[in-house]
Amino acid sequence: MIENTELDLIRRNVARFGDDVVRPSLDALNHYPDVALPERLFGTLTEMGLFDLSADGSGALSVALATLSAAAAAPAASVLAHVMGRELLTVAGRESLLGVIDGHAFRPTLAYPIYAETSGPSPTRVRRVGNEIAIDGTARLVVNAPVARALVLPALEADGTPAVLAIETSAAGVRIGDPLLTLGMRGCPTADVAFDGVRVPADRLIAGPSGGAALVDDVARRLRGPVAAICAGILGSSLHAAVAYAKERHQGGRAIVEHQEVRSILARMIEDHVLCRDAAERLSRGVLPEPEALALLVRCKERAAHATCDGVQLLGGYGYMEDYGQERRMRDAKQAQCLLGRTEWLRQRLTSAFVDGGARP
Amino acid sequence: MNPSFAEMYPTLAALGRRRPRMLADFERALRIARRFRREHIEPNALAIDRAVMRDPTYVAEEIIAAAAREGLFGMTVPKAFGGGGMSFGTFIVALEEIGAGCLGLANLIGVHGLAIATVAATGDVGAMAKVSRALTDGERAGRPALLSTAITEPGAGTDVEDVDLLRTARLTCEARPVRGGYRLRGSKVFISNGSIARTHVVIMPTNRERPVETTFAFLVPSDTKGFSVGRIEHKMGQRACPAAELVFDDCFVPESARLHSKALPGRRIELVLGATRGGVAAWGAAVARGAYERALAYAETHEIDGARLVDHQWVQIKLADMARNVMLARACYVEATLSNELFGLSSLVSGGGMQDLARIVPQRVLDSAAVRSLLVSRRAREGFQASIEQLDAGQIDTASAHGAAAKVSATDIGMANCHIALDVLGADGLRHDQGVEKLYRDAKLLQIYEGTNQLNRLEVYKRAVHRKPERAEPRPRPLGAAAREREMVRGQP
Repeated sequence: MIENTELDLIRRNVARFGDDVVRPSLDALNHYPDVALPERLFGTLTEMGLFDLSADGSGALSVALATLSAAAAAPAASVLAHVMGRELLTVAGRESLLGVIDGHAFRPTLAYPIYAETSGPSPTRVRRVGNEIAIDGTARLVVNAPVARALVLPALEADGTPAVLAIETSAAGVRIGDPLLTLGMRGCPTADVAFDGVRVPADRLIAGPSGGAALVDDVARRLRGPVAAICAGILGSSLHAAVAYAKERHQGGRAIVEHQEVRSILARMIEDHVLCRDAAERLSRGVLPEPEALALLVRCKERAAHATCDGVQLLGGYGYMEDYGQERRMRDAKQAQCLLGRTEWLRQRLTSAFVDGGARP
Repeated sequence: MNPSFAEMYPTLAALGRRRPRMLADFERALRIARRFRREHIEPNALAIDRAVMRDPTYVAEEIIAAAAREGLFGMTVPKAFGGGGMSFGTFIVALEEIGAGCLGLANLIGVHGLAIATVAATGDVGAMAKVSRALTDGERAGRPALLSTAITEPGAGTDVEDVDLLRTARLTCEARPVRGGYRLRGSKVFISNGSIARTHVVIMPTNRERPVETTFAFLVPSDTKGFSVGRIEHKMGQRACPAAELVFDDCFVPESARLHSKALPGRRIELVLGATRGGVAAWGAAVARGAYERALAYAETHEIDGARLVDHQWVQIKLADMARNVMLARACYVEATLSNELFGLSSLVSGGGMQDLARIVPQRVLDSAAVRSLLVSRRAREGFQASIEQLDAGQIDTASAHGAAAKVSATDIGMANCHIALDVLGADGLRHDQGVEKLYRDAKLLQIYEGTNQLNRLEVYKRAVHRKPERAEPRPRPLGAAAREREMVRGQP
């Protein structure tokens, strides 16, 4: 467990990075992929070691991502995808692949489809051919794919068994699509990936002893806290912008923060922010019963998405324009609602965990 | 996916049994809009959204030209002014249909209706004839003279639309009276179509210390010295309709630029918003429907957990919720629109009687110099303005309450359906090429413009819950009643 002082240090460092590097890059992030990615931003992220953080229960990753998301959620999503990919390799006991893939452990940027349901049907198909595996099909919305050196992907074996793959983006037959324009998290490079008769060594199948589905589920559980932290970071930022505007803007001869309706909206945003922050902390630090963890995750993601809409509403026309940041936070929070799977799919899992003890998928 | 007219508008279908001609107009509006959506909106909406994202000055000229060919810009302009003569209430079904394809393009095509309504509410028939003729003549030539309405200021948005808030609004614009006219100063912001309109209906006080008593409408051509277009906004959505800053730098306009009317705040603004908020409500229904249609199409063709989405009960419930939301939103705006036809601005401008009259009189007569000069005469103006004054305050309240209630309800429903659609589509919904994330971005603006939904709730309170006691119960004006025509005819020389 990391001491609070260390977490504070992480928070301060990332906040400074947010002010000095991320905020000046917001325009570029917002207009990606029509403009180039801000190289310095991602370079500094790497130098600061954010890609090296782990979902290890210390809370460090969550604190970093919440603070980063308060400035912009796109780089946080990029870190999350990389960490998800790396944790999959680590939990499967295949860290050695990192060195094989790139030559420097913990340095490559890994790509992972972090919006996919963990046990959804994968359109990526693998079959064993001697000492190799052949890969066909596609993978959709793979985060970091346009910049990554390696892809970590859920896949299906010929007999329908879920598996996990780790392959270089430079492998013959791997086609990374054009960077996608998405609702939110713009500036987090994302693309579809097509596989056309790709052949790689069989050791690139990294399913652990319990199988690919269990491996992905296990790692996804670890990342619920960081996902909640991203939601909390976005919403906290939206809340602060709304309060600042409400103090400044006058209507009816007084600041709008004095209007009861505005105070009610702010109160709901505060309630939701507290919920998200607490969810992030509990999910990051504690080993919670599965139903409780899923309930916190679902509620946190949903409330952040709705509350950031109110964040736009409070600023009226200004909230709708790019310059004020609220519209970006609204889009980012809605996109974050899809992290680790869509809400209703998670709700079905939650009930399954509560009622059936997880016996049913 | 293409329900019949009667399935979509049972109230109107029932109404049509008594007024078959009105029903025929509704059906014609839907038919035109549906074809326009299929041929021009659906194939281009995403590409235009993307183009404006790259360059906010991009204008979908080809859509404007196509809409002009269909006569969409002038469709609600009275025939006597060269337009299509369709009532606003009838045209509203076209707003839903086009908006279901793209709210940005619907706004690009429809927002000049706010300007026309504003001019109409002044009662200045001459000005109405002038802007209408310019619009429809241009439309026939393939280049409609678009109008914008400049209301919002940097420090005052919603408060400019409410007479109580206006007293204390932080206004910076002023049209200072000078010899021979006015000098306009200040800037207006977020003006839809502001960068492409040829004429701007500018709402400014002549004395900003007394805005309630001195706010008027001015017609300002875009080539007026001292006028310029400032920044064009990077909006989250509805990108196809540009929002611009309009700058008035000691901009002189002659006395004739000021529309003849009493001050706008109060009755006249209420009449405008009572009419146009129903239109925004139609767009709420439109986006609710667009989200529903796309979610359904996706659910029928994609799988999760080994089964088609549409075969999962949770998806069926969500689709059912979306479908009933569309019905609710549609009922809201239809009710508001009929309320406006009976009690509000439409009862004067395009009431059933006026339409019927225009149908009887040949277009060549309506276009004749004699009729034209008659319509712009002082007597016609005074007659129309007297009609505005004679409208019962309780009736205006009813139209305003319906408009505000529909605006809040339908636009909230629109956003709700976008949330649901994104949840049904999951990660695929986040992609621009799926179109649903665009609906979500577009829909949010509906809760903000034409008065925020917060202000509109208070409007419902003022107009429906806490009515001033001196206001009488509204007496509906029967659609097509001869009384309105008689009043109008009496107003002619």
